Amino acid sequence: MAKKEYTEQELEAILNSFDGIEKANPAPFLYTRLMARMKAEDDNVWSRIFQFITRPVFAVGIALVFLLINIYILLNQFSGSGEQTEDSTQIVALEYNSLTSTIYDNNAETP
Amino acid sequence: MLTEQNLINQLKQGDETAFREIVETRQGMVYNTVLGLLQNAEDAEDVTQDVFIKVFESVHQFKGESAFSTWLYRIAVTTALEYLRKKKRKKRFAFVTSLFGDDQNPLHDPPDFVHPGVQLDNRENARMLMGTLKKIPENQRVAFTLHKIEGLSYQEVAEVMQTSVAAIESLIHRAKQNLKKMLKNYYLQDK
Repeated sequence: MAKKEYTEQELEAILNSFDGIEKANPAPFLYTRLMARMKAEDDNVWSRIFQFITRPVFAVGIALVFLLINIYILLNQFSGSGEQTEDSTQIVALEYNSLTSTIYDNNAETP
Repeated sequence: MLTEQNLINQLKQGDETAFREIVETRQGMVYNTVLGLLQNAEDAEDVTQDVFIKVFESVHQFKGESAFSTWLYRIAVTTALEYLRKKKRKKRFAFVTSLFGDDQNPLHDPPDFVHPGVQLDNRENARMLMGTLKKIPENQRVAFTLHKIEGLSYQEVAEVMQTSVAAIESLIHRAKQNLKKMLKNYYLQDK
C-alpha cells in the first residue's frame, strides 16, 4: 500500500467529477412491480401486523408497560404489607391470650 | 394531459391512472436522488417503491404549500436516510450476532459504487468521491448530492431541506472542505 497525497488540482478534479453526470433511471416496469408489491402488502394483513409488533418502538413500549405493572404491584404490596402484619399480629396475640392462661389465672381465688 | 394540480386532486381520491402518471413521470428524479444517497442500485429500487407507496398513502397531507416535486424530494430524502439508518442498525446487530458465531447473513455494501450516469473519463475520480461522500455528515451529504447529482439549484435544495439559501451554501462549502480533507490522505494501491 502506498500513500498518495493529492495536489490541489487533483482534488478539484475529484470534487468536480460529477460534472456532466446523467440521471440514472430505474429498471423498466417499475410501476408494474410497484403495483404488485402494493397488492401483496394489502393482501397480507398478518405480515403488516408482524412488521408492527417487531418494531423496536413497540417492543420498548411493551417492556415499559410490563415494568410499570411490576412497579405498581410491588408498591401496592409494600404499602399493604404493614397493615396486614399488624392485623395478623393482633390475631395471634388475641388467640394466645385466649388459649394460655397466666399464673394469676390459675391461682385466682374464687369466692 | 392532466395538469399537476388535477393529477394531485385525482390521486387524493385514490385514482390509479393519476398514480400511474405520477410514477411514470417522476420515477427518474426519485430513483436518481435515492441512488445518490444509498449508492446501491438494488436498495435504490426498493426505496423508490417505498417513496411512491408513501406518496400514495399520504398525498392527502400535501397542502400545496410547496411544489409537488419539492414535497416528493423531501419524501425521497427522508425515506433514503431512514433506510440507511435501519441498515446501519442491522449491520450492528449482525456484528453482535457474528460474535456469537451466527453470521450466516453478513451485510456489506459493494465497496466501489460508481453512479451509472458519470462520464467515462471521470469514473475513477467519481468512485473515490462516492466512497468519501459516505463519511461526511448527513445534512452536508444530502445538500451535496441534491446539488451535484440531481442538479438542483441552491434555491431548490434550500426548499427541499427547508432552510435558507445561505445555509445551503455553507453546507455545500463545508461538505467540499471535509471531502478535500478526507481525500488528501486517500490510500491507493501501487500498480
